[in-house]
Amino acid sequence: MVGATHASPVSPVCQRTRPNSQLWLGVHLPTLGLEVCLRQLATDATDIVAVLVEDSRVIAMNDVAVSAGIMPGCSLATAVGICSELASFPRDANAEETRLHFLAEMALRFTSHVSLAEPDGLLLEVGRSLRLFGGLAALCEEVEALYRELGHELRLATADTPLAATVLARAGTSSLQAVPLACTHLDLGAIERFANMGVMRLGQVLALPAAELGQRFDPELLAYLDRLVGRVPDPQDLLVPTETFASVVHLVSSVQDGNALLFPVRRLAGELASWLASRRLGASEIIWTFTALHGEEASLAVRFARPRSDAGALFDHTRLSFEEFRPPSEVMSVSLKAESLRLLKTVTRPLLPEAPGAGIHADSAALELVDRLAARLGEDALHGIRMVDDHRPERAWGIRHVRQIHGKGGRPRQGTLPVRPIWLLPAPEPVRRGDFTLLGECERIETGWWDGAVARDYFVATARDGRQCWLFREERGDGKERWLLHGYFA
Amino acid sequence: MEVRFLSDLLRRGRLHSQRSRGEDCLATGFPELDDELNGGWPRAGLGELLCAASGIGELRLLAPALKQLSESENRWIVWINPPHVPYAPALERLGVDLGKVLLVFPKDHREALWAFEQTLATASCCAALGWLSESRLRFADIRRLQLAARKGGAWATLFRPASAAGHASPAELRIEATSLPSPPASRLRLDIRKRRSGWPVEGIEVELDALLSPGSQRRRNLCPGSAKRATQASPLRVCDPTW
Repeated sequence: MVGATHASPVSPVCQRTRPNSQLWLGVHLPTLGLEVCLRQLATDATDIVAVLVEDSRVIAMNDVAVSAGIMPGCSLATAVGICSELASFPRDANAEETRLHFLAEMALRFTSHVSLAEPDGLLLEVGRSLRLFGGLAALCEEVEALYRELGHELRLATADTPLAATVLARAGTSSLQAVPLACTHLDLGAIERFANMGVMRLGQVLALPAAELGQRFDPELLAYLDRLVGRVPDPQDLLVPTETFASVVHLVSSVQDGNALLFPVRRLAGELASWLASRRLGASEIIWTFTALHGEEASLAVRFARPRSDAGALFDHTRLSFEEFRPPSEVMSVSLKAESLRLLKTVTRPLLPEAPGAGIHADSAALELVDRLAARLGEDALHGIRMVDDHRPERAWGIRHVRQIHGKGGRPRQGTLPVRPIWLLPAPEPVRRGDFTLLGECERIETGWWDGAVARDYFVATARDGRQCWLFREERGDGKERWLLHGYFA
Repeated sequence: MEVRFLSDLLRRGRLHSQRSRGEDCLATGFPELDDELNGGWPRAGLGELLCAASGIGELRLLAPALKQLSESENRWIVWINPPHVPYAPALERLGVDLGKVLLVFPKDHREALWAFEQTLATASCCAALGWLSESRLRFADIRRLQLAARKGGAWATLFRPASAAGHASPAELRIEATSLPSPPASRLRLDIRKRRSGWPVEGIEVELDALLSPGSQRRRNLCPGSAKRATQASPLRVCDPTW
C-alpha cells in the first residue's frame, strides 16, 4: 500500500459492520495552492525556490524552499532574507477551487462517487471499484500516478466514513486516535479550548463522555463526531461533471517566442487527455486561445478526423498547426477549450489480419495522415473525388470532403464504363480540327435539357505532339460546328 | 559453351540478384517493363517519370499497378499537387478505388515537399504521385523523399519534365517516357535512365490501353497485364486475337 492508511473509526460504542460496504478514499493535496501557482511558470519549476504567501506570511513552499531553510508561518520578509531569489505567489482561492474541481473530475475514472472535500481534498467512494482495479493497493497506486503526472503532491487514506477519510489523509496517520485536532474540521476556538484542557488528539476527544461534551461545547460537535465515526449517516454531494473542457494557464511573465508557448500547450494537452480519458470521450475539435498582455486574442482551432483522446496526438497536431499560426507578441495566458466531444467507440480488433478493402476508416493510421496534413495545410487543401450520375462529362464527378472519404468506393465498374481521359480540362478549349487525327467512332452525348443542355460528338484523337486527347464537336447557333479539346488521356 | 547475357540469366532464374525478383516489387502490368525493372515498380522507393509533355499516357502506365494496390491494400493513394483534378470516371474505369484516392493541393513548394515527405513516411499510403516545382526542386529534397518512401513502404512517383534527365538524381528509378503515335493503340517508348541492379536501357516499348470505341473495347482489356490474367479467368476472352 503506497502512502495509504486504512483505519476503521474505532469506537467503543459502535463497532460498525459495513452494511453497504462503503469505502472512502480521502485524497489530500497539501501543497495545492502552490502547485496552482507553479502552473503559471513557462518551464518546469524544479529548481526555483517558490513560496505561497497569504497576509504576508508564508503558508506553503516547495522542497527547494524547505532545503533553503524557509519555515511555514514565517513572514515574507524573513523568507526573502533567507533566499533573495525566491518566487513568491499570492494565494488565489478561486484558482484553487477551479483546480480542485478539475482534479475531482479526473477521479471519475476510478469511481462515479466523487465529492470535494474543500479546500484541498477529494473524496472517492471506492468500495465498488476495488475488484475492477485489482485491490486497494493497485487503485491507490493509480490514483497517485495520475495526480503526480498532473503535478500534485498528495496523501491518501481510506476509512469507512468520508470525514474520517479526510482527516486521516490530512493528518497522514493510520489511526483516528492519533489525529491531531488541528487536522479535523473543528473551529479554532474549540481546538484552543481542548488544548487548554490538555486534549490534543482526536482519540482523547472520542474517549470523553458524550453528555458532558455536549454540555460544554455546542451540539454541533457531537453531531460532527457521530458523522466522523459513522454513528449517523453522512451523505455526500456527488460531483456534477462539467459538459465541456476548459482550462487556462496564466503565465507569470509574457512569452514572445512561439516555441516557448509549446510548454504550456503541452501541459494543457496532457490535462485534456486525462480529462477525456476519465470520461471515455474523444475531442473532434479543440480550440486554443492565446491572450496577449494588452488584451489581444488569437484563436487556433485544431480538428481531427476522428475523435482523439491521446495527449500525443492532441499536442502533435497543435504543434503542426502552430507552424502556420502567428500568436500575439506577448502572450500572458493560454486557454484550451474542447466542446465538440464524442463518446469513444470501443474498437474490436479482428483476430485475423484485416481483409483488404475493409475501408480506409477501418485503419486509424490512414486517418492519422489526414489529420497531419489537414493540421498543417488546412482542410481545404485536401479532398477526395467521387462519381456523380450524370452523362455530361464535366458533371460526372464531384469533390468529396476529406472527412467523408469512406474508403469503400465499391467495386470499380471498370468494364461497363466508356473511355474517359484522366485529365479533364476545367473548361473545354477551342482547337483547330486540322491539328488532330481522329481515332475510332464518335460518342454522342446529348442530355441536360433541364439545366445546361449539351449536344456533343466526342472523339479520341492524337495531337501532333503525340498526346492523346478527347475532342468534341458542337453545333454552333449559326449552323457551323466548332471543335473543342476537353481532356488528355494521361 | 553458350554465351548468355546476365540479364538473360536473371530472367530465367539461373541467377539471383540481391533483390530477388518480385518480392519487393509491384508488377507494372507490362511484362516487357517488368523484365527490365527486375519485377516491377519499387514497393518502397521513389521513381521519377520524365515526360516531355503531360498527357502522353504517363498515368495509364501506372494505372495497372494503382489498380492492383487499391484492391489489395487498405492505404491511401495520394496525389500531391496534380496539374489538374484527376477525372473520377476515368480512374473508376481504370479500376482504381476512388475511396482510397486522396488529393492534396498545397499552397506552395515548401508545403508540397513537406506534404509529400509526410505522406510517404507515415506508412499510411501505398502509392503517392507528386508534381513539384522543377525550378525549386533540389537534390537533397529528392533524397529526402527517397528515404521517406523507403521508411514508410510507399511507392512514390515524381513527375518531372524530360529536361531533368540531364541532372543527377538520388531517386532509385528514373524512366523517361516519350509517346509513339501509332493509332489506334497508344504506345510509349520508355528509356530507363537509372534502375537498381542494372545498367540503363533504352527503347522499351509498351502498349497502353487502346482507347477504342466502346464496341471493340469490350473485348480488349485495359492493359496487357490484366488482359493476360483475365484470359485465364474468362473463357470469353480466349478468342481475343491480341493475346
